[in-house]
Amino acid sequence: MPFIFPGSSEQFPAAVPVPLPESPTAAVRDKLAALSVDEPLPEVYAGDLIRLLTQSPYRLYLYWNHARDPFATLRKAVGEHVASHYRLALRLIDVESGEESFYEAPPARSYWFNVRPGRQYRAFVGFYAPERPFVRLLTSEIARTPRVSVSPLTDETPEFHISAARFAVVLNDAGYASDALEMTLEAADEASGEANLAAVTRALARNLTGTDAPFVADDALSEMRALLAGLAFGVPPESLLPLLSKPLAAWLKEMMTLDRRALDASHLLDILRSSLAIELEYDERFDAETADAVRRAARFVWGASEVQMQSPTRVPHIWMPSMNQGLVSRPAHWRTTQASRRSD
Amino acid sequence: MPNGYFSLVLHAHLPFVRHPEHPEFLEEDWLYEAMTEVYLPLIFVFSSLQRSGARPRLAMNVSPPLCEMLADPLLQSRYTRHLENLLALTEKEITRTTQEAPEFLPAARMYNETLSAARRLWMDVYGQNIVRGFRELQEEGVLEIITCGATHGFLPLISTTEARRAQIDIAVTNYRKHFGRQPRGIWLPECAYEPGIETLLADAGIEYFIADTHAILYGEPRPRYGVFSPVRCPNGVAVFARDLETSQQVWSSIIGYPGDPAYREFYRDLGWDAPLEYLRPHLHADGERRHLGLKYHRITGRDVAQDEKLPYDPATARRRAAENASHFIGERIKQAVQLRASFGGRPPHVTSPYDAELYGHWWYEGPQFIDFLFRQLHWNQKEIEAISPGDFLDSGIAVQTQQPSQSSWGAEGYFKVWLNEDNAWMYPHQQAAEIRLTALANAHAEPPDPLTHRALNQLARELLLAQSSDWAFQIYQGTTVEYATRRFRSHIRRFNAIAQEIEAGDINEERLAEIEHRDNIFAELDYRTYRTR
Repeated sequence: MPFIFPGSSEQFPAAVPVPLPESPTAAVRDKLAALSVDEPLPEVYAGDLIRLLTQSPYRLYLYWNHARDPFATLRKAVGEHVASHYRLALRLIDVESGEESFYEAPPARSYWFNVRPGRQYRAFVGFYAPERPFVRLLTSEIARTPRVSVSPLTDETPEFHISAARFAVVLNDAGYASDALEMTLEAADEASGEANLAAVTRALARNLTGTDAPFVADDALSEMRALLAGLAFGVPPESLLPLLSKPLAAWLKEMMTLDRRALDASHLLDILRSSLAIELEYDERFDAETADAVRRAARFVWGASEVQMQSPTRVPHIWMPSMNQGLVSRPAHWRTTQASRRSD
Repeated sequence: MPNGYFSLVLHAHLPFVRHPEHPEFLEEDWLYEAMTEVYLPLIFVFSSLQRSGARPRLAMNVSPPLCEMLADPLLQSRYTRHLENLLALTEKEITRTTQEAPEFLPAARMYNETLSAARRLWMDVYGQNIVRGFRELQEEGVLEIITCGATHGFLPLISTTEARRAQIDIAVTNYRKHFGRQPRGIWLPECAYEPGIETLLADAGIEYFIADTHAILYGEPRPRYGVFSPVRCPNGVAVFARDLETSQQVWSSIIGYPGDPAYREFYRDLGWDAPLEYLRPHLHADGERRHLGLKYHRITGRDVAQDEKLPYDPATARRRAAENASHFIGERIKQAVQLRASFGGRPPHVTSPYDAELYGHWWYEGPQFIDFLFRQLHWNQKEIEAISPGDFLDSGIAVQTQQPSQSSWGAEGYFKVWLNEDNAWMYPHQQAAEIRLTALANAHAEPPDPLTHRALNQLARELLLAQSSDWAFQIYQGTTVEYATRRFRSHIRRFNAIAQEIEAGDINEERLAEIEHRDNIFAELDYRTYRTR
C-alpha cells in the first residue's frame, strides 16, 4: 500500500519552479517535460485495440479502439442500405459452455460485464442485426475469472492428501470460516454415503425453506453450500442473488417471496446446530456495528482479502466437533459445544 | 526442531517521486518522512539487535524505485536539509515545552534524541546512502532482501508478456546494482498474481514470491497445510501466503496493537497545532501548514475527539510495545502448538507480510515492537524460530505442488482497487505504449546511434513510471488524485512524444535531455529488455 500523507501539492501548491544549478538544460521548459494536465491524451491510437480484463470473479472490463471508422468500412463492403440495419455490438462468450450474450456497444468504447467465477470468457466487438450473422471486427484474448472458493481437487499423493473434514479445520485455522463451513457440509455429504446427491446439504436447504432446492450438477454443489454459508453468515439474500447460477437464483428468489424470515441467519444457525452441531461465534470485542461488518465480509460474497485490514473486519470462528481431533487447546473465546459428531 | 517457524516480511516501497524542477516539493516529503520514521529506525533496530547477539532474521523488500531514490544525490542532499530543519525545530521545542508546556517535554526530548541519532546514522555511518545499511544487514545475515516489480507495476494488468517480463528483469538487474547479488524472492506488486507469472519469475532466477492467503487456500489441488506451509507452482517457484491472524493483530484498527490508547496519535501534529509564525522557518517556501512529524498526543481512546487527546508519554508507550511483542509471541506459540498437533507433528510456517511503512509512520512504536519481538524470540523462548522464506526452502521440509489462484492483497482480494470506474481510463494508454515500445525495440535490435539509444532507453523509463500501481491506487483511494493523474498523464505524454520522434528520425536532443534529467530512474536500463524473445 502506498505511503500517502494527508495533504498534497493539490491542496498546497509548491513554490514557483526555480531551475536547479545542476540541471543540464535548465533553460529548457518545454511543455512536454513539464507536468501539465492541460493537453489531452490521444483519443485514438494507431491500430485496432481490444482488451478484456478481469476485475474480480464477478466482473470483466472491456475496452477497444478502432483505427478507422468501422461503419465506413461496413458501408463500403455491403452498401448503405444493408449497413443501416446494423448496430455496433458486443458479444461475450463463455468459452467452456458456449453460452453467449449481446450488448449494445456504448460510444465510450468500454464496457463492464457481470460474469461468474471460475470461468473463461472471450469478447468480440462487431456488427449486429436481427436475423443476420454477427460480423466480427475485434476479438479479445481469453480472460479468466478467479474462483471464490476452494478447489474441488485434492492431492493424490499420500503425503499431501487431505479429507474434506480435515481441510475444514485448516480453513478455519486460516481464518476462512465461511469456506470452512462449506467444507464441513461437503464432508457431511461424503459421510452420508450419498455424496452425489448432496444429501446433507439438500436436507439443510429443505429444513431451512420447507421446500426442495433445485437439482444441481456435481460441479454446482459447492455453489449450493456456498449459498448456505453466505446465509449463515448473515449475507442478505439480495446480495447473493446476482452471484448465483440461474437455477439457484430462481429458487432463492422464490424462497424470498414465500417466506423471507425462513432465510434468517439465526434460523439457519439453529438448524446447523441441531443437525450438525456447528456453532458460530463472533469475537466478543466487536460491537454490533462491527459484527455486522464482519458478517458482510463473508468469504462467499467477496472472496478473501480484507481491505488491507484497514476496515474493522475479522472473520468469526466456527466451532465444529470434528475440530476436537488433534487440538491440544482451542482459543478461550470459542464456545464449548456439547454435541458430538463423527470426526475425521 | 521448534514447534513453528515465523517469517516477518516487510515491504518498503514508495513511488518514484523526484522533482528537480522545483526547489522543494510536498510529495517528496513522503520519502523524507519515511526515512526519518521508518527506514532509519528499522536499520538502527536491526543493527542493534545484531550487535546484541539476538540474531534477528526476516525478509524485506526494498523496492527498486525506493532504492533509486535512496541512492539519488539530489534527494540525499534534500533529505539532509530536511533533517537539519527538523532537528532545529526540536531544539526550539525543548525550550518551548520546558517553559510553557512541561507535559509535552518528554516527547520533545524524545524527538530531539531520535532525530540526533538519525543524523548520526545518516551522516556518519552511512554517508547519506542508507541502501548501504540494508546491504550490510543482508551481508550480516539479518535481512533476506527480496525484490519487487521495477516500478511496482500491477503485473496482471500489464498487457504484454514483454512488458511484464521487463518489470521483473529490470528489477532484478537493479537489485544486483544495489545489493551485489541475485535476489531469491520477490514481493509481487500488490501481491497480485495470476497463473503464468511464475514462468517469468523462474526465467529471472527467482525462487519464491509472496501472495495473499487465498492464492494458496483457493489453489489447486487443496493445500494440505493451508497457508502454514509454502507451496510450489508446477514450475518449481515457491509461494508464501499471508497468515490472516498475524495480519489482523497488527493491521486491524479494532483488535490491532497500533490502536492502543497509549500509542502516539497520528493525526494530531505540531504542523497544525502551533502558530504559523512559530513554524514558518520550518515550512516550505509557500508557508502552508503541513505535517511535520512532531506529534505530542496519544490515542487516548477510540472515540476521543482530537482536541481532547492526552499528552503522549514515550516511556509508557515503550512498555506497551514490549507487552504487545510478548503477547504476539504468546499467540504464535499457541498457534504453532495447535497447528503442529493438527499437522501430525509437522511444524507450521507462518508468513506475516506487512508494508514496512506501517512500522514507524502509521504505528510510531512499530520499530520498538520489532525490537522487542526479536529480542524476546531469541532470549525468552525456543518454540518459535524466526527465519526467512529462503531459509525455509533450504530446510528440506517437503513442499506440496499446487497451482495458486488468481489474487491480490487489495480490497476484496482481486483487482478492483487498480481497475475500476475511476481509473480504467488509464489502461488503453498504457497498453498502446506497451505494444509500441516492444515494436520499437524489435525494430532496433541494435541501437542505431547514441542519441536514438538514449531516446529508446528513456522511452522505457517513461513507460515504467506510468505503470506504477501507485497512481491507480491513489485515484481509487481518492487521495492525491490530481498528482497521481498528472504523473500518469505526464509519463504517457512524454512516451508518446519521444516515440513519435524516434519513428520520425527527428529527436529533439535538448528536450530529451530535460526529460532524462527529470525521470532519471534506472541509469543501467537497456531498452532491449522489451524485445520479443
